[in-house]
Amino acid sequence: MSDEPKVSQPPPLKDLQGKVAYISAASDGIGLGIARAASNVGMIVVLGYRNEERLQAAMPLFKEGNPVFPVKHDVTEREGWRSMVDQVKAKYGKLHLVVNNAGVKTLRQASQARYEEWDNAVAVNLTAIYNSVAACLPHMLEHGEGGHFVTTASMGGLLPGVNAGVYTSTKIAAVGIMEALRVELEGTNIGTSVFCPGLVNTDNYVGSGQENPYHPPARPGIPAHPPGPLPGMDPLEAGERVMNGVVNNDLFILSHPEFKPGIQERFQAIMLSTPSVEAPIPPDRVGYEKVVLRCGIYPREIEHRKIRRKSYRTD
Amino acid sequence: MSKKAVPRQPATRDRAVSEDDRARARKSRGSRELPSGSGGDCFALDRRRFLADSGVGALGILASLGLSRYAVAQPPAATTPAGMPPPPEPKVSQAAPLHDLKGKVAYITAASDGIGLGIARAASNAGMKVCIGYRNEERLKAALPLFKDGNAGVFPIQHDVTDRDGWQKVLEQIKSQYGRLHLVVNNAGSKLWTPVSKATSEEWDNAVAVNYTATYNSVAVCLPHMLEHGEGSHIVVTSSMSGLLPGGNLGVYTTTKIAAVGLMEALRVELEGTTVGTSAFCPGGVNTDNYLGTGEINPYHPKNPLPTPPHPPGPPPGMDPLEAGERVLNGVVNNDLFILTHPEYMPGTRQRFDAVLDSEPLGEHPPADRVKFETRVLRAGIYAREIEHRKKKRKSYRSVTA
Repeated sequence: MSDEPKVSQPPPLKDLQGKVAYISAASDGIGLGIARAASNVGMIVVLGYRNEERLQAAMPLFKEGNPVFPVKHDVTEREGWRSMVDQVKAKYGKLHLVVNNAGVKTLRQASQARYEEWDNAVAVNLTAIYNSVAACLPHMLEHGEGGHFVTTASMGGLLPGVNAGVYTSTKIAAVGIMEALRVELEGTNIGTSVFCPGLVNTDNYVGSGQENPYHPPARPGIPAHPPGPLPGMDPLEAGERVMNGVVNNDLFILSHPEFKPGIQERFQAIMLSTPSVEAPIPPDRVGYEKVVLRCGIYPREIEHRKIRRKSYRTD
Repeated sequence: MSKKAVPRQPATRDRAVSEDDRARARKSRGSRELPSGSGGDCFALDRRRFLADSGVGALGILASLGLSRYAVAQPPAATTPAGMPPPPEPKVSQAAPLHDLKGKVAYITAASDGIGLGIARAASNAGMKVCIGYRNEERLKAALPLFKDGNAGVFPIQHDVTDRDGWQKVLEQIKSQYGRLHLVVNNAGSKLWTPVSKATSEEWDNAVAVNYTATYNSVAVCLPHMLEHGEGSHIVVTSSMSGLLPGGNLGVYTTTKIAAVGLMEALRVELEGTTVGTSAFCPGGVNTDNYLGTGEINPYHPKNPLPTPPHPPGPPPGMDPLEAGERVLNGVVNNDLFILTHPEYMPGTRQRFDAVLDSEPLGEHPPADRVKFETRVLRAGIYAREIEHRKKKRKSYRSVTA
């Protein structure tokens, strides 16, 4: 164990200027915020979208002259991922940053979801991340300039407080796959982050539709969206925080500290479930389990968090 | 119902404060302590248990992994940002819906060997009518003699858990055989030890279907029946400690097992007011064929690239599957959300949790109106209730079925 690194891998993508970013579902909401932040810092932005009208509305928000390349793309289509990579390679040569931002916000209970709803949520919120890795990782390893994968999960991925199991359980899975990828890719020049925001001022949040997690009917006693300015985080700020997470290679990009007590409560409930054993733990069992008893990425992440943090702007 | 918070008395703690803890305390200076019920030392009880229970040899191995500090160290000081609304009063979680197992009907998937067989045997021993899901006839034939009393009441059903129509048929068969179904154990699992970054799309899709979506399938098919008959019922998933601690380079497995745990938590949120309980079973090493090194899919198989020694001669080192099954039943009659059996994983798990908590932005004060708007999702009441639940005296399934 002594030759194991103490701190996690150095940020593979610490200089964003001139690098190529692909952000899925970036024609509005958090995806657009991330794309704008990336564009503002000098990245070439490949913007995944599905809806032409939203794309038209989004394009003027980018600074004039900044390269933005829209690609129509459904993240559940594996062929579409490969064709996106091919298009980016043909146009810009290389792809450095992949943000899996597309997500299903169907607030259905897992106990009431129809098969199609469940399958779609798993396909978009979880399997699409696998698809992105399968399609983009070989290219990113090959060009060797450093790359990074980000997934937009949610605070629901750390604290399933919303009474909507399809959403929360797929987001928990999305957090888990990014942790698993960190384990796998730590020795490479590919970084991994999972972004878990709380409230961000997106259309979903504004409360116009059933998809909105804060939509009143789901649970009584919750105020509907009040008139006036929205109280959540601006999507551009959310995007800037994602960029900061990328240049620091943060495993967890958290932006809403008000969730910490709730998350801590969840972890406490798990820790308290440890059995009070009648007999000592057999040492040979422990020896046998060694390989999974400890996951080096976490102590390294704890050390990493003690290090002075960089801002993506000042670099 | 206990109304006292977890004790938090930083000044009188019985262990030396490490340098890290001082640094953490410095970081969090000025912030007020967590409200009651979310105690400052959120991991204290666990550590005390761990220290009391660990054999010296086990602790030595943990020390060699750099985990001894985590078995004894102080936790990070809890911080609460300004504007945090008071938490809801913690209450104990729902009473165990399935507290008396005798004569009740259980369906366990993949129960012809391994952990599933252990659960099925324990359920049968406790007087349950046991329906065994299986795929392989030979394994079933080898399993049946292990049940007591000439396996009376054991009802085998051939079933692939990824087949939704199959689930429907299983339920119909159980209803016509026994009338009602009370306990579903989603035990079938794909033990494919492949990194996510190297998995083929077929491997990925299969693992998601078996380890994750199959549990949803079971809920979609069995839950309406359970709610309809109205007798206390329970849904369990056999996950793994990998569902709480993704160590080892096994991404497809760990991701889908994490997802399975998350699904049971989500279901607890949804079903807490009903007659249906939920548990996620997260075992470590259990003496199954997979664990003992007879198969290619075994993490401890010599052919596997993992740096693990091959299984040494002598008695197998893991937990007996029957004991694992008995612990599952104890979890059911107590309605434990998390059924954990291998405390040696907890220091590593705590490192994971600390890494998450340390990633919260420091020194930021969320706008009060944002926090107000998020109130509904800032806490999942199930955890506060589970914490209270864990303070209660625990039942043994034997005593309630005796």
